[in-house]
Amino acid sequence: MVMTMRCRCGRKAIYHRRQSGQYLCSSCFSKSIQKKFLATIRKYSLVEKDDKIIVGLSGGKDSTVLLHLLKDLQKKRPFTLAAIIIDEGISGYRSKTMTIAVKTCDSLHIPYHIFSFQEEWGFTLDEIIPDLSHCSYCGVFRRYLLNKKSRELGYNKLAVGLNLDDEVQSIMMNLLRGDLFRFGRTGPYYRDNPAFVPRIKPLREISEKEIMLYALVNNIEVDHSVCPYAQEAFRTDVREFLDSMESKRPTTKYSLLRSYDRLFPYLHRDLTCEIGICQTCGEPSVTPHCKTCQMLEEIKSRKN
Amino acid sequence: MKVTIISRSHGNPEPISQTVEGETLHDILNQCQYTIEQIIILRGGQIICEDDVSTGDTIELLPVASGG
Repeated sequence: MVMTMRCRCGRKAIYHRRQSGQYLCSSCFSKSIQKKFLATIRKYSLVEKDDKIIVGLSGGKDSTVLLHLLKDLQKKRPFTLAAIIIDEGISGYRSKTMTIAVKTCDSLHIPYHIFSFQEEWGFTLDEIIPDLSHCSYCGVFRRYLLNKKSRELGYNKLAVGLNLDDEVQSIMMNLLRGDLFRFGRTGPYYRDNPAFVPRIKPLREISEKEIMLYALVNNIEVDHSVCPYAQEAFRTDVREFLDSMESKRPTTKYSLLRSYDRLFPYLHRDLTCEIGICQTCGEPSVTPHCKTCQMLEEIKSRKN
Repeated sequence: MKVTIISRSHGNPEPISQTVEGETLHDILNQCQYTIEQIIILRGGQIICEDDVSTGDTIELLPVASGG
């Protein structure tokens, strides 16, 4: 016979936080997530009075939970909150997630802005015949649009739903690729550059599983579908490796993030380079032509 | 330990049911190609701790990964 595990408050536990050994009921679990979120905000002063924050919203669990948590925070602190939704043009996937994103904004009374690859460049992600993986194009184009449009709309911070798993995967991927420039830019904050809207990552210390659980126990509607291109990603291999390590040693991901964060001030100082302006589009770039313009040129030349 | 696992593969809304036997829940999850970090466990539609799974249970595995 199995004994039902109890939270320290006496209620039935629904979650075993293996990193700390705690058993938590749904109520204590939710409070612990809100506390972690606020602790990250405070630690790096991510949200300040009168900030104009725009959330990169996909309709998936991470960005939707982030929007809910920021909306709750807005009740206590005065700042402007909106959402930006990017339609990459992935048939059978993005329309579903966008429906949820729009519904979430409407229900929370949050203004939103939609931009698409089609409107901006005249093609969808599906239409690209890739040299690289679709994810490589998608990531570059999406980040470009998020930054450009957020800046043009006058927001001073772009909040993204990157979670603990995303962060440690990026750290590992950049190390495995030997990409030290990017390795030095996965931290909790960035040196100010007027061309870049600073990205804030209030969920970076919360695991993907805990975000999913938070959405479930708080009845937050999210889309659970997986991008049809996700299996192409190098990220999937790194994810498998880290999950397997975490399963054997439950503090692996936190330890990796903590170690990285301790190194970050040095990496940020010594490994980043000067940001210039792309000669083609005028957006920020470390090379004469930004990655977006290079990819657009490559797509155009393949079409001709 | 022997449990009946209900899971949905990505892109397939129809649930798949299978009975899996292993020494521990981790063994069972391993056979289903999951780790405990990658799923949430439901029994009778309710979220439960992995420690609450017992032999003979029918549990649903909800994959945590979604998005891109």
